Amino acid sequence: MKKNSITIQLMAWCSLGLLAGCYKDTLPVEKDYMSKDMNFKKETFVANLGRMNVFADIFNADYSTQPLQFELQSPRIDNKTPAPILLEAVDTRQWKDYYTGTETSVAEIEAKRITVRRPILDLNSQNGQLVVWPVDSTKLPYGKYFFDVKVNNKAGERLFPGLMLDLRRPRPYEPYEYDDVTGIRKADNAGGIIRPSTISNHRDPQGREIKAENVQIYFVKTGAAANTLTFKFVDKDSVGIPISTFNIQRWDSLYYYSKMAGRNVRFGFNRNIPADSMSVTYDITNPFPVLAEAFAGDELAEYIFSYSRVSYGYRVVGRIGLKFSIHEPGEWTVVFRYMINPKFSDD
Amino acid sequence: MKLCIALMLFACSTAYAQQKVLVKGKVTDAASHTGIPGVSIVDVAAKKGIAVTDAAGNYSIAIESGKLLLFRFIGYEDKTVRVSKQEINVQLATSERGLKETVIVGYQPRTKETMTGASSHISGKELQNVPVANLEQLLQGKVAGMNIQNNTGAPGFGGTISIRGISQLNISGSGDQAFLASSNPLLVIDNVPVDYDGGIDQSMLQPGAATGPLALLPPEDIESIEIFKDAQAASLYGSRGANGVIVITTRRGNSAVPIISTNNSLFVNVPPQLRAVWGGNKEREYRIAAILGYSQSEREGRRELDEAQFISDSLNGFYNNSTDWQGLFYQTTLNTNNNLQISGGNAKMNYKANLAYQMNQGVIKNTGFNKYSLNMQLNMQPNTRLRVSGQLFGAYGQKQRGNGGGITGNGAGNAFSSSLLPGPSHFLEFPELRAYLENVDDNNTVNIRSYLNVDYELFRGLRLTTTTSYDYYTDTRDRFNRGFSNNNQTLLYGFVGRRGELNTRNGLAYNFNSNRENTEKGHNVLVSFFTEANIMENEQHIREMRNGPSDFYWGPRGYSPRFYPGNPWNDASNKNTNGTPVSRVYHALSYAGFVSYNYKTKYVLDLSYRSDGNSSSGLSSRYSINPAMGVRWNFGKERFMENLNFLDYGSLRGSFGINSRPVANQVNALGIYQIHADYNNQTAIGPEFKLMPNPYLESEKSRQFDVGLDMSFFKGRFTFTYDTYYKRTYNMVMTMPLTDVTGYTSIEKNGGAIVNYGHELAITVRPIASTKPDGFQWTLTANGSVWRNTLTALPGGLESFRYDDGAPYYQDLARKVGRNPIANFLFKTEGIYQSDSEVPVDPVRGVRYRNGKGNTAQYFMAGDPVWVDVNGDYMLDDDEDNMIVGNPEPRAVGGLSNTFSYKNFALNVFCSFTIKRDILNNAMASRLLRLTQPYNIKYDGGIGGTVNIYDLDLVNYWKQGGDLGAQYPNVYYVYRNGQIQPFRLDQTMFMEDGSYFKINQVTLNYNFRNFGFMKRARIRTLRMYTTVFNVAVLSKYSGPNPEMVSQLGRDDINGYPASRSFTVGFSAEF
Repeated sequence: MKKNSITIQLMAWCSLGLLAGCYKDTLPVEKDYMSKDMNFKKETFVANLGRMNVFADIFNADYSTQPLQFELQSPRIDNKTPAPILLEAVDTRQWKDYYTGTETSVAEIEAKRITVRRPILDLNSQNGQLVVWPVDSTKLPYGKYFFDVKVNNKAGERLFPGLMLDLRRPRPYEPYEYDDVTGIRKADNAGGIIRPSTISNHRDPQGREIKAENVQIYFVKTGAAANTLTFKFVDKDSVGIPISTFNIQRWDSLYYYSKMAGRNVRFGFNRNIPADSMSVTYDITNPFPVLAEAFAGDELAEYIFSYSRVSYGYRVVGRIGLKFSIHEPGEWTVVFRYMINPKFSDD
Repeated sequence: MKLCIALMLFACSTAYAQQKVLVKGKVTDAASHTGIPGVSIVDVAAKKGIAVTDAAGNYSIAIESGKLLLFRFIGYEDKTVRVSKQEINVQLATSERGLKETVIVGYQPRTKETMTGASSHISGKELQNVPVANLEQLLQGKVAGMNIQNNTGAPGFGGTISIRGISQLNISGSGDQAFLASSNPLLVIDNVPVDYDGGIDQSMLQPGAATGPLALLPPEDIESIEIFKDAQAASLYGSRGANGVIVITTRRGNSAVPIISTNNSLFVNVPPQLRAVWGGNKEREYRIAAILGYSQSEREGRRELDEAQFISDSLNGFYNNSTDWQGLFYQTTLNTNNNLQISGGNAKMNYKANLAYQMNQGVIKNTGFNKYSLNMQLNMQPNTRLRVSGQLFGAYGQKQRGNGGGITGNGAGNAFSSSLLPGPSHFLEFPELRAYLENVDDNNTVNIRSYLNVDYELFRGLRLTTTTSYDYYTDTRDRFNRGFSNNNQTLLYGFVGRRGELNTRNGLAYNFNSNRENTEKGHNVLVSFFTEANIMENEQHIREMRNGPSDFYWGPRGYSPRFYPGNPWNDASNKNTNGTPVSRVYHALSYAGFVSYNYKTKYVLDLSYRSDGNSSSGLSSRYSINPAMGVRWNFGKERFMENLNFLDYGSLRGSFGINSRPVANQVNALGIYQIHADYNNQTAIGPEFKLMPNPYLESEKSRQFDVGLDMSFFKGRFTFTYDTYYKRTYNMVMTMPLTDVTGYTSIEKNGGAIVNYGHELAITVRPIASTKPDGFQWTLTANGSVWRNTLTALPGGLESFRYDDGAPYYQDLARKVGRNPIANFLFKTEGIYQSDSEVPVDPVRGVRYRNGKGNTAQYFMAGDPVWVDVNGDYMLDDDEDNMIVGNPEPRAVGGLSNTFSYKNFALNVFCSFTIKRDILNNAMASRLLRLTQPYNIKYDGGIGGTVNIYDLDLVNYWKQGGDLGAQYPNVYYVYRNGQIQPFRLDQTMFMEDGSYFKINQVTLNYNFRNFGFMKRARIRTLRMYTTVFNVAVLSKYSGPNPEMVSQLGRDDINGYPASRSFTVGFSAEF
């Protein structure tokens, strides 16, 4: 009798235990979530050869469970011919330490960078950020390339087909006078002529104001031995104007404001003014400014030359400057040409 | 039975008395040794009552020697004595009836041993000795599976309650005031169904008086409380009982001799320990150090310092103070609680009247709660077939809210200002303080509840019952904010709400026992059928006026600036709320029936069914159904258990049922029309485009299994009840956003589901039980429940649903399938960067991890919190870097009660605990955030307010590289705060474990026994007691009290602290 009761008790307890133990099995396990509204914020990526093109924050995960896995698939040209070249690894310059803006030489900046082999079209597998690394057109012809991106997490996968990489001709510097699709110089009034971004208090000998449209700027690459930048000024007859004309320029403390470094950054290194004072040359990094390609459009250097003269009893400060960036390595000369000769001397 | 006793008593006194002896004696309580009046004395052989005891418990009867006498009284064990001598003194022991107790389930009395559902019992005795503003405070930790958090210390307010986990998904509000829709159970007071909330919702912005029925009910008047937890027990209460049912029975008269009992106490409410602050020069030094050392630049710092006159002008008497603002807001109060009860009668007619008064002044000045109540009950049984009982309960609750506020944000934490400012004096006043002292916010609630119950036995076993009850509330709220404390604009606000509920229940019950003498020997059937009709009405009106003429003219009330739009001064920013937010009538009709069968009270089967229809439910589903079944096996009664002497009883229960909860109402099912702007000079009336009506809304349902085991060993020395349950609430309604092509903003849809499962255990142990009644006794009761809530489905097959909480809190919530139903969606903080080189560098772009996606130089650096960059893009952003973390629901709650008694002393220590709950210390966050404007007296920002600098030495903040243990970033950050907001609220830095162990109550009782003065004053029992309530909270939480947080676990800086109270009182019976 007693044995019986114990058996019954045991059975009761066991069934209770079993019941309690299997609650969890009836529940759905937590799954990754993949939103059906997740998408690429843009589907055409316009990039230029010869520079790094970064496309950040292009994917809207719509609160899908992280981490997401991104995979670039079937790159092709003109939407039919496979173009495996896009996935070919090239040497890229990446950062191991951050750029502060307080570096004192090109070498110090370069020491923060390392060379990494990455595919030309580099998709970040974690967040979908896209980078097109600098290659020249001999390696990769410009044109329209297509590729698909497969996004997956544990909830499943989604394919975003037919994303387009619109790879265009190189733009060695900004602002650039040539159309990067056709290669033809743009119309004069649509960027075909580079004008200064700042000009003020420039007057001709008759006292008429010289405006931005009276000045042309030329970017001239003079060699490839080093990365340098030279400024020159010429008058309408292409006769050189010595830079000593800019008499109140503080040559020893020239900075431009770097938005992404959050501070004023020294304008190049190793300033060199030749004896004839006809130009000024700096050693620069490539690209210039340093973060010009990482934050395209937001990082431009601005150089402003100023001079002072007395005009009819008033002292006026004339200023001329340009906001620009340089992407192609080499020895670059920026020439300011006044199409109307300004008066630099006192009245 | 009582009637018989009375009749026999009459007969005995006149009948032959020649062979009899006169027996005298006294019947006393075994524990307290006080005489028990009204004890029936029954001649066992003749089966007739022969006497009852008098007021002092004495009796005197004439009876033949050798006969058996049975002494019987409600609440005590029967005692049989053979007449052998002339004086027989009898001690009756309090009955520990266990399973024989009568429980009223579905409005029908049943013995507990035939109940198949899961229920818990609280005796009224456990609720004495502490004068509390709300009965709910006493129920915490008393019942396994019932989670009560008293999240405000404001007198008269309610906390939050849920039985067996939350059963709601809809969230509204923001930040500290975000709240989850209510999971409140149904309250049944003396067979009258009552809205638990009393029309209050948990929202901050609720307009009413916020006094619920539990705040008005005096604990002294409570006989017992029964809590029904599973579907079977709750099924007969219908859809309103889907979250569980709390049945409260008040005391009844049962003594032939009138008893006057009184319980009076004085209690002191003491504010908790105030926070240490930096005052005077210490505050000034802090502010100067922060401004000069941590501004954007030295120049900027000097400018800020120059402009902050209250810091720089340190020799000015106005700015040269060290005022303790906290001390000016809090007070210690002396209060009284008085209860007087008169009861008496016999089985034919008995009556009770209970008068209660409590004055309960809060620890914040100008707040408090006074309540008055009268409960009168009359039960009549003119003949054996007819029973009539009626009750009238009237209560008046008077609540002062002082400076206003809702249920959580009604404290004073937002009003403490800089210590440099002068305190109030004869010449100076201070608006924030004046607001607390002089603003008026009077909330009055009048409640009248009455019922009439007629019960007629048509023929043996078949009873016809009809009950009609009416529960009526009037709430008023009168606010007046003085101009001085309110930007020189007065505010007049008036609220009137009327609620009534008429309830009629008519039913038939048939009770058949094949063996009437002993139900344990035959078949027993109880069949019952009833219908219930219910009419509820609710009407609320609000009038508000700003910028009145003076502080002394409180009017004109009823004038609504809305109708005078030409007057911009009255309602410039359209802030006034005027009109009638609620006006509705609700009709419900229910049919219910149940069959309970048992064989020898050993095998029990219960089947029940109830369907509820109401006037506001969706057109396509008028009726919601609640079927349930239960089985019980009292295995202790089996023959093979008989020789297990140590086992008192044992039973195994199982139940299954579905409860439906209608969610449709006029707004979400039928839609509302609105007057839009004029079109072509015609008033345009069209649908309101906020919520699209959904006529297909169905009731929310919950399906619950419960398996329980009740066992008692060694004559009650060890008793336990174990329950395990699995509850799936499905068809849950959620507000889903709609695409704008529909024209509407959102729709309410069925489809959510939550599973709650858990284990509940309640144990009673008597480790030391002296056989002598006045020996040392130790009773330990403990209960606890562990549960898990899991979200198993969301409407429309969604997997995840984010609740977007906008500015200024940004504390988003996530509802994700497979997780706990409500989780925080925050940045995960993993320590603090010790040096700039620890900040990750984007190898592609050559910059550091930064705040936001915009191209700005807001890089993280040493001293900043390490927020996990979930998607690895070196940009911190809400969209991609928030993580689902935490659970605001506790994982386990319980209670622990120790009672020691020795001779005339009894000591009770009651504790409760809450384990594992993630709470957000928003109070700390806003305190630190407010430090970031050291040049301001008042922080002007999202969660702004005056700045009072707490002792920062107590804050573990980052000072320099290498402070690995630092919990918070540098409290001196001024400029840095504008850059990266290190003290932002939407991060896990402020998420803490809210586990706590609380010593709720320590009570020491002394019973006066057999003192001469008691006899002279005709005092039957006299008891003195002293109680400390809210003794201590033990917790690792860095804030003041982990319980004083909102239901979603947010600690409001403006919370009302829980006061500790000390009580001295006595209770006496005459």
